[in-house]
Formats: sequence, structure tokens, C-alpha cells
Amino acid sequence: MEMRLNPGSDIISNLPDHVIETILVHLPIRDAVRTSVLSHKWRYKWATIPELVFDDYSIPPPFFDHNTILTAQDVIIHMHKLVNSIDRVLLLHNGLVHKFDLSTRFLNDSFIDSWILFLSRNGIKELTLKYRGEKHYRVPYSFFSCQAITCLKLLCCILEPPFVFKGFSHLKSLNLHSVILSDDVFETIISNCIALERLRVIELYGCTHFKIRGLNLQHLYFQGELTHICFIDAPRLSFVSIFLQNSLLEHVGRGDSCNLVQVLGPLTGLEKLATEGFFIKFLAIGNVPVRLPVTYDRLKSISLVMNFEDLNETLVMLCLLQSSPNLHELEIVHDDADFADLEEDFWKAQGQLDCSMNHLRVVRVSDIVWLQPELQFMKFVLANSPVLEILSVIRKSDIIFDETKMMEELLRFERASSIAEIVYNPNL
Amino acid sequence: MKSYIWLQTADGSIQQVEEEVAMFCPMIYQEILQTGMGSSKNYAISLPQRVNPAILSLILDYCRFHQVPGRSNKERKSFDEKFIRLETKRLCELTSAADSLQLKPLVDLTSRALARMIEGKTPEEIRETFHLPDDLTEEEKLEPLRNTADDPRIRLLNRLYARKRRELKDKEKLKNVGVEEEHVDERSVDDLLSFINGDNGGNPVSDSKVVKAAKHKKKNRRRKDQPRDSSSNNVNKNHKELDDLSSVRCSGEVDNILVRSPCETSKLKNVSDDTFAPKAELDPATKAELDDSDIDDELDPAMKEELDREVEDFARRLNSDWQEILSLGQEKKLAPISVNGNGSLQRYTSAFVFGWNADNSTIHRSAIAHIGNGFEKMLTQSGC
Repeated sequence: MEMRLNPGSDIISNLPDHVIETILVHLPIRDAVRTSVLSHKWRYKWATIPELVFDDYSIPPPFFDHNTILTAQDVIIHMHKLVNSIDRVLLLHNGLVHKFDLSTRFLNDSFIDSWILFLSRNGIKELTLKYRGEKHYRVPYSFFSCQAITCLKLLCCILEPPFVFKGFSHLKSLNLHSVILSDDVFETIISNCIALERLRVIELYGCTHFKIRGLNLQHLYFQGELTHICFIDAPRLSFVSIFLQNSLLEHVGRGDSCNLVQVLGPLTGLEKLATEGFFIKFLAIGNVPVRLPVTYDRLKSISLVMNFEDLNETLVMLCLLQSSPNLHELEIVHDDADFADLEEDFWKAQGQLDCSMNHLRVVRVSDIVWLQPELQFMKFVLANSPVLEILSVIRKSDIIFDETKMMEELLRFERASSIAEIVYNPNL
Repeated sequence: MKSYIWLQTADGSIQQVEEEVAMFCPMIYQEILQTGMGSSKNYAISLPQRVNPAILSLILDYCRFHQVPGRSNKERKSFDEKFIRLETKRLCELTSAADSLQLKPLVDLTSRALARMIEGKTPEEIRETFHLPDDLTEEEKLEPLRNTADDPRIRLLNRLYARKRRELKDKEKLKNVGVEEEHVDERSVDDLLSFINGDNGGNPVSDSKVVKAAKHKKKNRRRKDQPRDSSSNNVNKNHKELDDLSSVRCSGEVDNILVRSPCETSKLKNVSDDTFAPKAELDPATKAELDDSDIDDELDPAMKEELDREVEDFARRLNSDWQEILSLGQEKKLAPISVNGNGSLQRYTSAFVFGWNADNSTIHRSAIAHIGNGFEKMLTQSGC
């Protein structure tokens, strides 16, 4: 039973510590901690791993699918087990904890508070807190003193920092989902986290005015509701994707100029732009110019969700096309709203414009229902893209009428590019 | 004109490798840049000791494939999956060698593979896979290390350890009686508590066969009684058993202690399930003295015997300590045990601790500390 094997035959324990750590880090925390009973050498090898991940996989909850109804006792037992495990691990852990990942729906606030305090004293760099319980979790003040933090992901939390909070000076990546915080707090965080490069924000509550400032900011994804957004000092911002979910929109432009000019105007470094939901409608409020006062020299990819029958939205789309001389890729998804104010001869008039899209190679048009404006747009694209390679057409899945006539018409359009291919996908 | 780099492994053998393949290893790359070595056979780059020729050829295969820029991610992944299908020893050597050559992607790949071999396995299986010695000392095995013990595998392990411990103690007992006494103490306290308190609802701490059997039979009854009414029948039963035992074997004073501390609904719950309780074995000599007439009829004979031994020993212990207890001048306030929701048997504890302290406070305290969270709390509360 207790065989003493020749120590020379042990093939793994003598690997360098950092290698063992790499191995242990790839194990769920439970298996990692259990290596402490393997042999004398392995007793504390786990205790220095810098990453601790606790989620419903590490400590499986008492159900197997989301339909099981849990009794209060199930929840309490599970909570005890989870709390116990985390307490034990943190207590026995030795050394810095660089990454801590907590994702569960079963926790009591006060426990998380004490863990955050522990982490703030142990050099936490990457923190993920996904609280999937019923109410939101208010992060404790010790959270705001985690000065080494570089990557932060919060789900269902409340952020109310102390007055003295001056931002996280090393924070590079911030991901907030269903977080409650005020306009001021958001602004403080964003403007004081000077190293911030990536910002992902989904459904913030309590914050409708977004002032985004970031000398190092490169990537922005926004989903949710806002009434006002502006970019101040974001010269490196190259990826912007905004999914606007509220339909009550305001004009934020100065004077007559439209929101597009006001909001996206300063972003001259843009490389990829994506809009979803009502954002294009938001951009269209005000007087839309033919082209912007600036050109987006670096803008290579545009993805829009818009209504082809809406005049203002179409104007915005055209304005963007005209202001992006180096565009490579264009994707438009048709939003079949009830609103239609595009005149019949609109696209005819555009035919006279000199709008040559000299670098456009790939165009994708989705969810079309074979409306005239859609066809006319595709005609416009085909006629003005000398290096076009593919025009991919995907129709909306519930069309029942006969499309052959429209397809024939499409195929007969004049193509500026000799290598242009039209690819038709009937199934989405 | 292809250029080659010359590499020398620790055993002295030299081989030549295409330059772009060798340069894929950061360590070799650095060597070439900094020292200019490797361009000819006489100036071959010495590779770290952990790289032997067989492993080197594996590593070079890896480099040869991955240094080609045009491959798709899918291709690379597919190659990687086939590449790590090696025997465990090879895999470990490969990890070590890749690490010494600073080839991080390969270290990651092999680490993942090794992690897959560890994940979900029992310690025995893991030891077998990697030829690890099972050399934890007994004390080390006793310390609480796990973070959940609800896993049936862990509970099984707990039982196996407990059994092993008992066997070990058995052997030791035959040699060294003095040392044994202390162990006996530890066990008895825990056992007595568990015994008195009956079923702990699946607590792997009270691991002795005795208690297990007791738990087994009483479990069902317990469940029904537990929530609201104090399980008075159980209490009385325990009480009665103790009375019987004490009257048969112990002195009158001992009897008093036991009599005057009835236990109410016992809920010595250990929410943290992961502590080991040190177990002691009884002196085989004492076994012979016991008869099993007074114990709970539900237990099978083997259990009965052990139970007898436990209690007998405890009683003996208590007997000998009784003088100390008296001499300490402590008034034994043997008030009824108050058991609150999380089961801290406060006053009950004090009696024991005083008795034990007189002999060898540190040992006893640490022994008690092993027994479970509830008990620890008791200790701190009673000011020890």
C-alpha cells in the first residue's frame, strides 16, 4: 500500500516550479488543490499558483440544467460549500494572486467583500466578478485600492467609489456588464484610468451621458441605452462598435450639424466602425452633410444595421462611404422597420456623384427583402467599386414571393470591377 | 543555399539543423545572436542538459512544422494534437526540454496535456501515472487540505486514511505505550462527542467504524426528529448508555459528570467537511477486558467491541484525571449543555479541557483542534 518507489522514477516532480505552475493553472482549482496529497514534494506546489478560478464548473452547483428548481436548502448548502472552498484556498495560498475569477449565482455579499480585501493586499491584476444572483453586488471600498489591477470584468455589480478614488492607473481592459454606476463615476473611472486600451460596456444603469476620454483607448464596444455620447481625446481609438437600444434620441450636435459629425467626427484614427440598433438613427439626427469635414483614412471596415427606406439613415451611410477612401469591407444589414421616406429617384441622383470606392473589395448585404432601395444600392456599389471581389447577398429567411426577377435584374447591373462576383445565399 | 546550425547535446553528440528551424527556439536564437556560435561543427551550440538527442529530434519536428508561416490555425492545432500523443515519461521530458529552450508554445501545449492527465483522477491514479512516491507523513495527511470533501472519492480517501492511521497506531501501540496514551486521548474525545451526539449528518470527520455504525442505524430516525423536536429519544438513549457504562466500569465521580451533562439535540455539525480527526487505537490488552452487554443492541458485534473499547478507555482516562480536576479547584459547573444552532457545546468542553490541560496542554489542545471547526470555536469561546 505505501510503496516507497525509487525517487529516480518520479518523472514529474522535478520540473521547474514555473512549469509545474503552468500545469496546475490548466487544472480546475479543485484538482489543483488536491495535488497536495500526491506526495511530499507536491504538498504545497499548488499554493503558489497565481491564478484562482472559481466558477460553477470548479464547484458544481446542485443542478444539471437550468430548469431544475432549487430549494432554499440546496442553495444554502451550495453556498456554504463554495464559501468554504474559497476561504480555505485563500487561507492556504501562499504568495501573490494575479488572477482571480469568481462566477456564481449563489453568494453572500459579505464573503465576497473579505475576499476582495484579501486580493487587494496580494497584488491582484486580473479580476473577474460575475455575480449572477438576484440583486447586484456592491463592491467594497477595498476594491478601489487594488492598484495593480490591469484587467477587470464585472457583471451585476454596483460601483460607488470613495471620494478619494483616483482610478486604476494600470487598468488596460475594462468590461462592465449590467453594472450600476452614475455618470460621474463612469467619467472618473474612464478619464483616470490612463492606461485603458479596451472598454466594453453592456447595459449600464444610472449612466446615460457618456464622456469617453482615453489617450490609450483603442477598442470600444457599447451596448445599451444612452442619451449623450462624446469622445474627448481618443486619438488611438480604432475600433468602435455601438449597439444602441433606446429609441428616444436627442440631438447632441452643435447648431445644425448632425450627431454623426459631432460624435464620430473627432475619431480620425478609426479602423473599424460598427453600428447596431438605433445608433445609425441617432447619428442621423440633424443636418447630414454629403461628406464629413474629416476623412477616415484608416477606416477599413464598416458594418451598419440600417433601414434602406429611411432617407436620413441612407444619407449617413453615404456620408460615411464618401469619407472613407480606403474602405475595404462593407457590411449592411437591413432593418425592416415600418418607416419609409426615401424618394424613388434618390439613387438615381446619386449616380451623378463621383464616389469611387477604390479599395472596396468585399460587400455583404443581409436580411434584404428585395426592395427597390436595396437593389438600387447594390447597383450603386457595383458601379462604383473598381476592385470589388465579392458582393454577398443574403436575403431574409421568411420571403415567400418569387425572387427570380429581382435576381436577374441584380445580375444585369453594370459592374465596374471585372472580377466582381455576386454570391447569393438564400438561407441565413 | 540552405544554411545549417550545429547543435550539441549534453551527451556530446552533434547534429546539424536547418537554420530557420533552429532559430524557432528562442534560446538557440539568442545564442546565435549573442555569441555567434553554431555556424560550424567545432563551434556547435551547447544545448541545456535537459535536452537529450531523442527529445531534441521531437522538438525539432515541432519547430519544423510551426516555423512555416503559411499554415492555418486548424492545421497547427491538428498537428499539435497528434504531436503530444506521447508516453507520459516522454511528455515530461519534452516539457522540461522545451522549457530549457524557452519554447513557450510547446511548454504550454505539453502542460495542458499533463494537466489533462491529472484532472479528475484520484491521487492513486496520478501517483501511478507519474511514479510518485506515497510519502506523506502521517501528520501531513491529517492536516486539513481539501477544499471540499463532499466528493465521494474524497470521503473514500478519508476512510482509507483513517484505516491506515489506525493500523499504524496499532503497531506503534505495541511498542510505545507512553506515546499511545496521548493518541488515545485524542480519539476518545472526538469519539465520545460523536457517539454522544450521534449522527452528524454525513460528517466524514467522525470516521471511526463505531460511530459509522451508530450513525447508520440511527440516521433515519434522526432525520425525522431533527428539525424541530429535540430528538429526545436519542438523547435519552445516549444518556442511558453512558450511564450504564459508567456505572459498570467507572468510579462514582465519573458517573456524576456523565449523568449531570445530558446532551440535548445534538447538532455538532461541521459545515467544513474537510478535517481529519486523528484516531487512536486502544491497547489490545484492554480489548480482552470488555464485555459488550450494555451497548446498543443495534450495533453489530465488531462495532460493539470497538465502542466498548473507546468508552472504556475514555472512562479510564477520565478516572486518572479526576484527581487533577479536583486539585485544580474548579467547580464543575456541570450545567446542561447548551446547544445552539451551530452546535457549540460550550460548557461540556470546559470540563474536558481542564482535565487534559493538566497533563500536557499543548498536545491536547492541538488534538482537539483537529477535531473540527465547531470544536475550535468552542475552544476559543471558552477562553483556552
